[in-house]
Formats: sequence, C-alpha cells, structure tokens
Amino acid sequence: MIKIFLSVVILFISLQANEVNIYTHRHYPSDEILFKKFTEKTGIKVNVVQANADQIMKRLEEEGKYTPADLLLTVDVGRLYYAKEKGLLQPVHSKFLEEVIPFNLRDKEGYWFGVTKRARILVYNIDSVDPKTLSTYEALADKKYKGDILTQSSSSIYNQSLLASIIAHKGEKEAKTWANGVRSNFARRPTGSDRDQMRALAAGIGKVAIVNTYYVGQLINSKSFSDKAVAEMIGIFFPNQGENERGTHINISGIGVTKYAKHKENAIKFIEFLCSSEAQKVFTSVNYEYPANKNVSPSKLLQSWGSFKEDNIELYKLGQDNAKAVKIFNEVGWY
Amino acid sequence: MINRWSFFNYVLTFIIVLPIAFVINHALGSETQTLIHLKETILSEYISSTLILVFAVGFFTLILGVGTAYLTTFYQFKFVGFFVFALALPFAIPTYIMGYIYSDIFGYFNHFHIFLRSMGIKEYFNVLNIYSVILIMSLALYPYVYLLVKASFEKSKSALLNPALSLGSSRKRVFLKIILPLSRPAIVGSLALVMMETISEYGITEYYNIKTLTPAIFNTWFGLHDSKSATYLAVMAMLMVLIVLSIEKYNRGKASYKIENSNAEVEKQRLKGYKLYLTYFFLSLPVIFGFLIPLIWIGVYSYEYAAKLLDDKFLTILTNSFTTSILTAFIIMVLAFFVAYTSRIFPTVINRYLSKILSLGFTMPGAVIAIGIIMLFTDIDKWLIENYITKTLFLSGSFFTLLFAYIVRFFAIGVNTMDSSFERISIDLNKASRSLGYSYFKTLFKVELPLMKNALFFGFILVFMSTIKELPLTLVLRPFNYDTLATKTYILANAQMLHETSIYALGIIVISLIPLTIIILKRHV
Repeated sequence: MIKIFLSVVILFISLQANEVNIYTHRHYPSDEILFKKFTEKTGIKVNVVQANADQIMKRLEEEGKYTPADLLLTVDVGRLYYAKEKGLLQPVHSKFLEEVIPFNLRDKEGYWFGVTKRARILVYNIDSVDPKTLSTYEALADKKYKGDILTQSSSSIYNQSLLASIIAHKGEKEAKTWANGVRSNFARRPTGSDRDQMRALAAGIGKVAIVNTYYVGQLINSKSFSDKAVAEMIGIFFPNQGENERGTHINISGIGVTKYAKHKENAIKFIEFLCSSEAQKVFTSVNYEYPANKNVSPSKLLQSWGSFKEDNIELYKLGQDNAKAVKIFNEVGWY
Repeated sequence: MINRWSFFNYVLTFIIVLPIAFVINHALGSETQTLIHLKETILSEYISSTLILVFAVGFFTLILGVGTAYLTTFYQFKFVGFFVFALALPFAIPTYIMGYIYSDIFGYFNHFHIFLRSMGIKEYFNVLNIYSVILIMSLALYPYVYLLVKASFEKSKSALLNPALSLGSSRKRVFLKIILPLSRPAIVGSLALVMMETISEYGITEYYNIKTLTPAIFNTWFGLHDSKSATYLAVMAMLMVLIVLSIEKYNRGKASYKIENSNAEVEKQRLKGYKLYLTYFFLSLPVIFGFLIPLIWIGVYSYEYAAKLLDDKFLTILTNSFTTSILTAFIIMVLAFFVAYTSRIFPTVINRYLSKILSLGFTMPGAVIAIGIIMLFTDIDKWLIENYITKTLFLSGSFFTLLFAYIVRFFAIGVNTMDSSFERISIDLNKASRSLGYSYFKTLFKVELPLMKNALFFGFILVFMSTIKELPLTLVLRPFNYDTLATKTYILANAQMLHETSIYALGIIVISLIPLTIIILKRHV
C-alpha cells in the first residue's frame, strides 16, 4: 500500500517536473501552435501566462528566487535588454543556438536569443507616391513630406526602438532633430495601430506610413473585404538600402531563461525548439515574421517583397537607448 | 470603546487598503529627475486631456443616465419594461471593444463610408479622435448612473409623489424640487464611479491616442522604465479624486436625504403624442448605439468565426469568467452592505469616511493596483516559505490572489451603491426596531435588507459585469494557463485580429445577461 502511495507521489512529482513555465508578451496564434507542437514532440507540458511584458517582468522581479517562471518571451529587444539589466535572466549556452542565430540577434553572453525578426518599413499609397522618390528614414524629416507621414503614437515600442537605432547611429542631437522633423510632417495626430496607418494611407490621408512587416502580411492575408481593398492600394519600400546606407531597421522577438528557473533543461530545449527550422517555418508562415535562424528562408509572401539589407547594429544598443528615445519623443511632442 | 461592528469595519478596510499601501510605499522612491522631465514636457497636456475627458464624459453620462432613469420610472408607455432592461445592456460591452468596433465600422473601406460614397458623398470622416472617445465612453458608462439613480427614484416616487400631487403640485415641480435633490447621493455616487473609470481607462485611450493620466503613467513605467515615478503619478491622481469626493461628502454632510418608505402604488403618467415619440427617440439612442450596433457587429463576426474558435477551451473560459464574477459580486455586496450598515448605526467620522478609503482601488489604473497586489502576496509568500510553512509560492499567481484583487478593485462599486441607498432610509426605522428589542443584526435583516433589495441587486449587477470585463489585473495576476473571456478578447484585439474577438465578446454579453435578466424579471422594476 505504502509502495503504491509512494510511487504515485513520485509519479506526481516527476509529472510536475516535466513541464516548462513561460511568461510571455507575445499574443500571436503561431505561438499557440508551437506550444502544442513542443509538448507533442517532447512530452514536456507548456504552462503559459500571457501579459504585457513590462508588467509581467515586475511580477517576475517581485517573485524573486521563488518564481515559477522558467522563460521570459517577449517582443522588442529593449525589453530583453532591460530584463537582463534588472537581473531577471541567466546566461545559457547552446551550440545549436550559437550556430544558427546570428551574432547581432542575441545577447553576447547568452542571456537572451532572438527568435524572430520584423522589419520596420515604409508603405506608400501607390496612386500618389512614386517609390523612386523614397529613400531613407532620415528623409522623412524633409519638408517635402509635410502633411504626408503616418505612424503610431510614441507609446509604440517599435517607434521607440526605431528612434533608439537613430540615436545609436547618429547621436542624440541628430535623432531629436529627426523626430521633430517627422512630427511636423504628420498627416494627422498619431492614432490607432499599424494596420490603421495603412488604412488611412489607402483612404488618402497621408502618403507614407511607418509600419512593421508582419502587420503588412496580416493585412494582405486578411479575410476582411475592406482590408483586402487597403492591401491593393499600398506599396512596400525597404528604406536605407543605398550603398553607404546602414540598412532597414529590424527588431526581434526574443526569449531568455529566468535567473531562478526551476526547469532549466526544459527551458533550453524549448528555446532550441523555437529556433529549429520546424518552428521557424511556423513563425514565418503563420505570423509573417522573418526567421531568426539564418538557415531558414522566409515565407513565400515575405520573399515576394524581395530581400533587403538589414541594419546590423548589435540590438542590445537599442535597449540601452530606449529611455532616451522616449524622452526625445516627449520633448518634441510626438504624442 | 470600539464596538464589534466598527472593529470589523476597521479590519476589513485595513485588508482592502493593504495593497494600496504597498503602491504608495513603492511611489516614495520615485526619481525626481523623471518627474521633472515629465513636468517639463508632457504632463500639462496629459492633465488637460484628462480633465476634458472626465468632465465631458461626466456631463453626457449624467444627461443619459438621469434622463433614462426618470422616463422609465415616472411614465407609462408601451415597451417601458423592455427599455428598463435594455438600457442597462451597453454596460456589457467593454469600452475598448466598443472603441474598436466603431473605428472598424467607420473605416474608409467599410460599411459607413461605402454607404456615403453610394450616396455620392466622397468625404472621409475620421473617428479616431477625442470626440468619439467621449461619446463611446459615455455610452459605455452611463448605465452606472442609470441603474443607481433609478434605484433611488424608485424609492422616492411613491413616498413623495402621492402626497405632493394630492397637495396640488405639478409632477414636473415635484421632480425638480424634491425627487431630484433627494437623489443627489445616488447621482454623485454613480458619477464618481464614472469619473474614476474614465481616469483609469486604458484600452480606448491608447488606441485613439488620447493622452490622459493613465497613458502618462504607462509612458513613465514602460518607456522610461521608472515604475516608481509611474506609481507616484497614480497616487497623485488618486489623492485628487479622494479630495474631490471628500469635499462633496462634506458639502452634503448636514443635509438629510432620508424619507419614509411607502409601498403605495403611484399611477404613472401616460405619455402621448410628440412627447411619446421624443421619449422613444431619447431612450433608443443609447440602446442602439451603445448596444444594438455593437451587438450586430459582434454577432455577424461571431457567426463567421465561430466554428474556428468554438472548442472545448471555450467552455472552460466561459466557466472561469462566470465563476470569478459571481464570487466577486457576491463577496463585495455582502461586505459592502455590512460596511455601510455599520457607518449607519455608528456614524462616527471615521466610519463615514471609510467608504471613501475603501473606494481607493477604483481610482488607480488596474495595472498599478496589480503592483501592490503582487508585492503584498509575494511578501506573504516569502514569509511563509522562510518559516517552513510552504515550499513554493502559494498565494502569488493563485486564483485566490486574483479574487482578492477583484475585490480591492471593485469594492468602490459596492460601497457607493450601498452608501447612496442607505442615505435614503431614515435611521428612525432602525431605532424603532431596536426599541422593540431587536438586535442590530436582526434589525439589519428585518428592516434594512428588504428596503435595500433594489440597490443590492443593482450593485450586484454592476460588480458582476465589471468583473467579467476586467482586464489589467487578470492579465498579470492570473495563474498559468488561465483565461477569461476578457483576456481572450484583449489578446486577439491586441494582435489586431479584431473580427476574431467577436465570439469572446459575445460570451461576455451572454453571461452578463444572465444575472441582469433574472433580477429584472424578478423585480418587475
């Protein structure tokens, strides 16, 4: 009797142990598919709390060494950088990850790894804009774009990272002049999502919008008749492609093992799974993100937009300059 | 000496306020640097848009709420029963969902503009602005005023209308001179709820990019990575609300709103002619724009997407939402009833102001309250672990924590409903019962409870529906793999998969309808 009881207890404990707990910010259907696939493949149960990254990081911080979370999965490199700074993550080493994830897309010491890439590009109204006249992010501050520019508010973390990249390349002063110039060229006070910028573009409000690639993908593949109409009216442009230019700004979704992870091995297995070609194909085909794994090619839709030169800045620098970027936005009145 | 009733009150207040105390403590470490930066740049714009939004939404909810309550209480016309029910329905649609729906309907390539172009009008009406936000929030929040004021009107109409009418006063005069002033506690109480929710609303202000204090708080927290200065702003906002409410309470401190209860039937006036049509028009507006149009939108897309999303998980999510909401509403209404009753029978200064302190959880953005809750429970957990009582986090991330958070958050609704309603019942009734030898406890059940039934039910509905819609606390505090209708709706909407949210939004509406239908049908109000 005691034996049975003990074995049940042991079974229970081992069942308990065979899991991995994730705090995630990502809210895409691709992730749910992948969580399931991982469990099918390894038998490791995936437990998830999905919430805003900054808030869930606060929870992680307060839970300290007792946290049940093994992994932190989020979008935007600034948050990963911040999680490392706050001491919420631990370094891990994996030959596979170091081989397939390019150097600039992961933390030097292995605190976090990029899982997917997204580019922040320009889209334009095909009726009113000749793409030959488009060139760089910097050019958007030019007076000739007065009343033409559409983008989200400064609370969009993607705008914050874009500005942080300009700070990193050109310094704070120039970045501030740029932000101020773009702000004075706004077609309207920033409102709505990236998709809404494209909708406005198609409606003839403004001519050029700054948006993330996967939102363009979603729009093109939307079931909604009105968004299909929008998709037909917009063109895609990768800025800063010239010979002496730095390339289009990219950002990542990334993941790191928490400092006090209780299932570290499972956690590493999970990261390796997300970066495997099997998972990377799901990211790129379901959510239209660019794979971070250099050996996996993007989905057909993304390929149809052509290949482009990426800004190869080490992404942690964007995290460093994130707060500076927010301050500049506040100062120039880019609300 | 402290009596048992007051003691219970103090203990309860202490527990509910604990997380707020953690928030305040957190705010004390704020960086003056950050605050100076905010003051020099965005703060004035944020404060002015907050004030504009609060006053405009307050104004419209007042007109809509009091107007609809008045017409459905004092007049008799066809379908009045339907309107009594339907006017509460806009509350079942989360504000930010209403915001998304209207931005979708008014999209350039969508229904409204296609219709315009078919009529030859080429103009584009952009709805992503503060005026839309004011209208949408008013539609989403006026049911607070409608329900609480209606409960108050119901109580005074028979006691006052009959004698006054028999003395020859006109109905209009009775209403303006007697009933309306007597309903001040209900009007103020419900408006306070509207304003607090307006300040702490995040979803729609973020999407429409209206810079109120809540986005400023998040700008500081998520952007400048300074959660301390962010909570500092939240605490300041909270103090402002607290001061305004206390002034109001002080102002009406000496006035008495008590009336004797009477169950005599009042003959409702029949409406005829253009007045009837005007009434239909006025009552239909909020029902159509606040409920019917969003419902049709939600219905159409639910039908389109239902098959894909209706799996076994959906039932679990439905159950989660229902269980938490019913538990929260029940616990809050019972506790709020005791709190209000105590300050009624022992009207000490402390007891009278406790209800304001108990409302604090509603004056801050949910995400900020969440910080306090997380800190409180991780501290308790750490103590438990260090004393070998538990081995892992026991309370943090548990269902219990979530429930506690809801209670802290929505206690304001319960206590405001109870307070404003108790103010209307003469304490003499209580004294009479006591002089007949009944205990306070027995008096509570025999005298007050029956008189408070309406308010209790309406308060219950409001808390229940608020909990179903609750988002920021649920998102960050929930246990692993725990979803509610609200979190599902939000996550999909946030991924800009708007049409996919509809089935979950429909779930919120259907579940909200359950208590509403039961109570309205039973009460014949």
